[in-house]
Amino acid sequence: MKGPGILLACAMLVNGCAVGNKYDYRVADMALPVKGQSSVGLMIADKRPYVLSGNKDPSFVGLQRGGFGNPFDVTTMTGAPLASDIAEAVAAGLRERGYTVRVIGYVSGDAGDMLVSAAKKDGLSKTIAVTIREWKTDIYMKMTLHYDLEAVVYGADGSILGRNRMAAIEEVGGSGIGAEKNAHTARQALSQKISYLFYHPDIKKALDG
Amino acid sequence: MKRALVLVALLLASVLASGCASVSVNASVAPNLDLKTLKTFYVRKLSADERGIEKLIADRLSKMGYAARSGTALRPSEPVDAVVTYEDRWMWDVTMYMLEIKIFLRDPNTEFVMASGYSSRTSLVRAPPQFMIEEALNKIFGLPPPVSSARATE
Repeated sequence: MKGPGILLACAMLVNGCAVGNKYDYRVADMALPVKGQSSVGLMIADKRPYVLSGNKDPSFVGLQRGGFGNPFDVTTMTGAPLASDIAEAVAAGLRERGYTVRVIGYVSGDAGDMLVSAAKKDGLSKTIAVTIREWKTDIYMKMTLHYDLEAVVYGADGSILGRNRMAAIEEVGGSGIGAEKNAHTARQALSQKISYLFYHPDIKKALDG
Repeated sequence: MKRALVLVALLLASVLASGCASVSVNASVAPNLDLKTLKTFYVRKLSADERGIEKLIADRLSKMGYAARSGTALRPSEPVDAVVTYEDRWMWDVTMYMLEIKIFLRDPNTEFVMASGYSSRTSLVRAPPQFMIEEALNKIFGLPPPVSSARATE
């Protein structure tokens, strides 16, 4: 009987830190490179293929691997969709830079004409749509970030004022002991990638002032 | 069963040992940003840092030919092209060693992170803080990695 017990203990030892990790993206400190006083709408659309197909929950944010590389899902701290948490963080960042922000919503799938009609209804001068085509961290010995993000700024009439898309797979840090250290690195990565989206000349031109 | 246990123990040992020898160095620079426009830096001391890491970063930037100084103030007394912030993590394994250093180059007005870099080294591949700072900064500025032999002399 000792054998199975030891095996179970070993399994728990190598997987202990990997199970049930949760990240809070709402508190990502967004230092955005734009400044203005206008009223803007904000919508985040989650178009990650595995979320659209139903293979993963919208709260999925990445993988934490156990001692043998076996993956465990990491989810949002809130249990809410990732798009919802990112909307909260980006809205806070925009408010910090002077904008009045109306979060139109977040969707898993196509936004359709929702943005334009919301802009007209609420008298918003511009609307920002951020589409998440990929966002997940994969942690074993290192943290690897997979991302594909697009920002589009629409005028009140639905015309596109600026667009930027960035995608890559890159290492963003060593693996931390404990979920909170990894969550901190993930938040830093999110803040940096979103701010890089806004650093594009067309996006800055559309939003500055 | 005994053989299975030995195999599991060996596998476990190899997995745990591999965690002791991991190096990761990378950087991220904002697209459209010309790093050559950055000439002057202010390294803001992390309040929790009692090891003087801010001075090591300023020293390295100076050796790279930039005008760099450090201090505890949130903002530098004179205008600079970038404010440098950092986060350091340490671990104990027989002695304390730097596990990771992250360096951020920020816009002095908005705190926007224009570029960042990090060096992460676990116990068996540990290196002095000066070396890891050089690794991270070289990565940010697109320079070749520092020479490994320098690790012994610093």
